[in-house]
Amino acid sequence: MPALGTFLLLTCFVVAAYAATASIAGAKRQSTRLTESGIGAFYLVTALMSVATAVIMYAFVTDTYAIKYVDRYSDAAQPLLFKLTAYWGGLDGSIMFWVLLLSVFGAIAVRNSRESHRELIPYVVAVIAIVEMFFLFLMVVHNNPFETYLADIPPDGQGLNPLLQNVYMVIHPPSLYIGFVGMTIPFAFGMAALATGYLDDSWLRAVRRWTMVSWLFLSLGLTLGMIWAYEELGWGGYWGWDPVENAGLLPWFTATAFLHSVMVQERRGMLRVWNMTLVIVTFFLTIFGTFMTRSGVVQSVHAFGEDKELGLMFTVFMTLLLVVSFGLLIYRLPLLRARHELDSWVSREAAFLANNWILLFSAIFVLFATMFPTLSEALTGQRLTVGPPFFNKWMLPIGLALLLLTGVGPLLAWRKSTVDNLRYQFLWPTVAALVTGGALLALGVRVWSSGICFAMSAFVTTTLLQEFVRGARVRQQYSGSDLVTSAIGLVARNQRRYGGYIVHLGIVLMALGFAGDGFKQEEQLLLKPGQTVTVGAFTVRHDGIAITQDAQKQMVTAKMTAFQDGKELGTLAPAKWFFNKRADEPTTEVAIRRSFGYDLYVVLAGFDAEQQSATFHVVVNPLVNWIWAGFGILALGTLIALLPERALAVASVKIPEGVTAGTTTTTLLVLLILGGVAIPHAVHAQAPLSDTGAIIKRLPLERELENEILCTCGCRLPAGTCGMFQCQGKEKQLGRLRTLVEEGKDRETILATFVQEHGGADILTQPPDTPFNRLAWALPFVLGIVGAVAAGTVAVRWTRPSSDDAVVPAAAAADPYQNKLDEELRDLD
Amino acid sequence: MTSTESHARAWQFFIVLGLIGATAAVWREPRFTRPEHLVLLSLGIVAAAVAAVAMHRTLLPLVSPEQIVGDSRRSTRHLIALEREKRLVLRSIKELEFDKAMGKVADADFDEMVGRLRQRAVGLMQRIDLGEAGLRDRIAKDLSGLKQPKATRKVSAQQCAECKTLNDADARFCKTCGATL
Repeated sequence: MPALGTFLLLTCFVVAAYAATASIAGAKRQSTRLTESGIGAFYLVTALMSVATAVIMYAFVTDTYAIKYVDRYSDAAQPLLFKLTAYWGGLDGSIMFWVLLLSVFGAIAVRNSRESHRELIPYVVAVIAIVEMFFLFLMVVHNNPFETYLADIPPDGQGLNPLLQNVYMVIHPPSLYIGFVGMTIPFAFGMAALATGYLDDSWLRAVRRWTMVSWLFLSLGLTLGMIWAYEELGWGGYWGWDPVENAGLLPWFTATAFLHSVMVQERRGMLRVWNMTLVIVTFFLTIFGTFMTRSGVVQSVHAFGEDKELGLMFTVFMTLLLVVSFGLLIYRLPLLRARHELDSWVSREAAFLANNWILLFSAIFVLFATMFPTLSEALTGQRLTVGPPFFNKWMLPIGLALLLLTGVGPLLAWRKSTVDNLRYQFLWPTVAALVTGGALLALGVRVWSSGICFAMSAFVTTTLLQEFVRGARVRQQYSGSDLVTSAIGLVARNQRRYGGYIVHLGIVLMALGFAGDGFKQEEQLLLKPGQTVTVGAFTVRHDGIAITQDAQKQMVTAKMTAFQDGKELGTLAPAKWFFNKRADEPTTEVAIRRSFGYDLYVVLAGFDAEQQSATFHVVVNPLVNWIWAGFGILALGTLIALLPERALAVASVKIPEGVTAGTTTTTLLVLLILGGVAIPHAVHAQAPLSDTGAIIKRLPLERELENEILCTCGCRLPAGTCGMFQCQGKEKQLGRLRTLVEEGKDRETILATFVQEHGGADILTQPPDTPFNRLAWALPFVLGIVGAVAAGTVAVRWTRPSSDDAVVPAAAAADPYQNKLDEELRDLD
Repeated sequence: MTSTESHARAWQFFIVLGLIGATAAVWREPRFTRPEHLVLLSLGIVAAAVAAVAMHRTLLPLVSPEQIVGDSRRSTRHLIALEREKRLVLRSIKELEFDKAMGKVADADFDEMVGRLRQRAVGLMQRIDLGEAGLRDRIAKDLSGLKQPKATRKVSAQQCAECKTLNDADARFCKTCGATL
C-alpha cells in the first residue's frame, strides 16, 4: 500500500508536468489536440490525488503503522473522526491535502470557464499544474507521507496531538487551506491574462467568485482558529498574534483589498495594474504563510519544527514566483494602461484608495512585525520577541481607521460628492456616533479605545441602516411596492453592494466583540470545596473534584456552580485531560458559560485531589460571542453577494414573505447593537463583592508586567496568559516577578532584571528600546506615510482638470441614439 | 455528435468497471470488515475508475482530428466586449441616477457626469452598430505590435477558404483544391 501511494504521487508529478507542457505547447501552436489533452491530464491529477487520498485514509483506518506518518499521528484508541482527519494533522499529509484541494479547485475552475474563457484556459491549466508540481516535488523528494519504517514496525501509533483532537481542529485547517488554495485560482487566471495579453476585464469576471469564496473560507478558518484557541488553549483570549495566525491574516488583508479595488476596475476601468499586483501578492502570501509554518524560520507554537532544506526549496519557489509574475506584469504594462480619472477627492474611488492603503499597510506591518525577530537575529545577532502587546498597540488605531472607512465609504458617491450631499449623508451617522460616545462618557466608560470603537460602530451601523432605508425608499418610488418589498428588491437588484453592506455589519459586530476585550476581568482563585468567590457579576462555588477514565485518557473534572446576582446559572465543569500517551501535556477543557453580554470562562489551573481544593483561572469576557455572531452575519452577506444574479431577483418577486424575514433580521441586529452599547457600563459598575475563597492578590504593576514578560514553557505567550497546566515556566516567571514587585522595584528595573537574568531581550514581549529596535517602531510609520503619499500622488495625478468639463456638450440631443439609449436604460432595471 | 456519445460510453464503461471492482474487493476483503474500511476501499477503487476516465480524456484528443476554433467566434468577441462595455456604462448611469435619488450627488455634477457617460454610451452604440473593429482588435493589434521583431512566427496550419482543408503554414496554394491561400 505505501508503495502504491508513493507511485501515485510520482505519477501525479509526471502527469502535472505533462499537463503544463501540453497546454502551453497547445496554446502556442494553436492546437486543440494538445490543449484538450492537457486539460484531460489536469483532470487526471485530480483523480490520482483522490486515489492517493483514499489510500492514505485507508492506511489510517486500518492502523498501518508501517507508514511513519500514520504511526506519528494516529493510534488504535483514536476515534474514527480523528483518524480520518489526522490526514492533515502533520506536515507531510497537509502538503498532500493541499495538492488534493488545489487539483479539485483547479478542475472545477477549468471546467466552469472552459468555454467562456477559452483563450485563457491553457495557461490557467499550466500555472496551476506548475504550482501542483512544486508541492508534489516537495513530497516526492522530501516529505513523502507514504514513507515506511524499514524494520521494527511499531505495534501502536504515537497518536495525534491531544490539542488537535477537537471538532474545531477538524474543520479549521481545511477551511484555512481552502482559503489559501482558492487564492491560486485568481492568480492562475491573472497570469493567463498576462501571458495571453487578453487584459480586459474578462479574467476578473472569471475569478471574482473564486476570490469571494476563498475569502469566505479564509475568514471562516481564522474565526474557527479563534474559537479553538479560546476554547482549547485556556488563556481566555482568542488571538495571540502567533506568526502562523498572522500568516493566515496576511492574505486576508490583501484579498480584502482586492475585493474592494476590483470594484473600481469594474466600474471605472481604473487600477488595473494594482489589481493584478494584489492578486500576485495575495497568492505569494499564501505560499509565504505555508513557508513560515513549514520551514521553522519563525518561532511559533504552530510550527512543524525547523527544516532548512524545506525552507530552501520554498525560497527558490517563491523567488521564481515573484520574478516570473512581476516580470510578466512589467512586460505587459503597456497593455494595462488605463484611463484614470478621479473626479473628486471626496468620492468612493478615493475612499477605496484609502481602504486599500490601510489594508496593505496592515499586511506589511503584520508581515514586518512577524519577521522582525528573524531579521534582528540575522542582522544584530540579538534574539527578540514581538508579542501580542506590540501588535495590539499598533493594530488598534489601524483597525479603528478601517472601521471608520467601513462606514464612510458607502456614504460617498462614485465620482463626486459635494458639501451639501455630505451634510445630508453624514448627519444621522455622526449624530449616532456622538450620542453613543456621549452616553458612554456619561456612564463612566474609561477605556478610550473601546469607547471610540463603540461610537464608530454606531456610526457604521447607522450608515448601513440609512443606506438600506433610503435605498428602499428610492426603489419604492420606482416600483410602487411597499417598503419591505422594495428593500428586498434593492438587495436583489444589486446583491453585491448590499451583500457587501451586510458583511460590513458583520465586521461591526466583530469589532464590538474585540472592543469588549477592554472590559475583561480576570482573577486567579484558590478554592476549597464549598467556598465561593465573586468575579464581576458572577459568583462561582467550588463543589469538589472528580477523576474519571476512558480508553484514551484520564479526566480530572472540577464540579462548580455559577451564580449571577444570586440566581443559580447552572454547573460548570472545567477539566484537565491526561492522554495516556502524552500524560505530561494535559489538555485544558475550559468551562464556558455563554451569554449575550458576557462569557464566564473558567479554567482548572491546578488541583489537589486529596484535599479536593483547586486553583482556578476565572475570566469574565464581555461581548466575545459577538465576534462569532459577527462572523455569521459576514458569511450571510458574502453568500448573498455570491448568489447568481437571477436567483435572488426571482425569489424576491415570487416570495415576498422571505422579504419580511430579511428586514426583521436587520431590525433585530440593530436592536442587538443598541442593546450592546449599554453593556459596558454594567461591567464597570460591578466590583468583586464578599469573598469566602481566596482571590490570589496581585498588585497593579504585577498585572501590567505579566503581559510584558514571556512565559518560558514554549507557548510563546505572555506569562500572564499562558494556559498550560502547572506550567513550570509560568510559575517561575510570575514568582520572580512577584518578588521583584514586592521588593519595590520599578517597571524599568524589573524588565532590565528579566533581560539580564534570561540573557537576552527575547524574554520581553515587545522589543526593548535600542537603536536597531527603533526600526521596529519607526518603520511601520515610515511605510504608512510612504503609502499615503503614494496614494495621494496617484490621486492628484488622476484628478481631472476641471477646465475640460465645459467641453461636454448636450449638442447631440436630436441624435436618434439618445432615444435608443433612454429606451435601453428603461429596460435595464 | 458521435464523439460525445463515445465519450459518454467510455465514461460509463469505466465507472461500471470501478463499481464492479469495488464490489469484488469488498467481497474478497478478509481482514478489515468494519464499515469505514469497506467504504474507503470502495471510494479508492471508484476514484481509480475516475482516474481511468481522465486518462481516456487525456489520450483521446491526441488521436482525434484537430478542431478549428471557429473564426466567427473570434470576430464576435470584440462585439461582445463592446456590448459589455456599453452595459457597464449604462449601469453606471443607472447607479448615478440612484445615487442622485439617494441625495449623494449634486445636480450640477450629476448633469455633467451623466452627460459624459451618455456621450460614451452613444459612442459605443454607434460602434456596435457599425460592427467596427473594437476592443479585441485593438488588443490583437497591440499584441502584434509588441511581437513585431518576431513577425515571422510560424503558424502550424492554415485553412483553405474554399474547401476548409488544413495546409502547411508556408503553403501558397491549397493542396486539395489548388486555390490560392
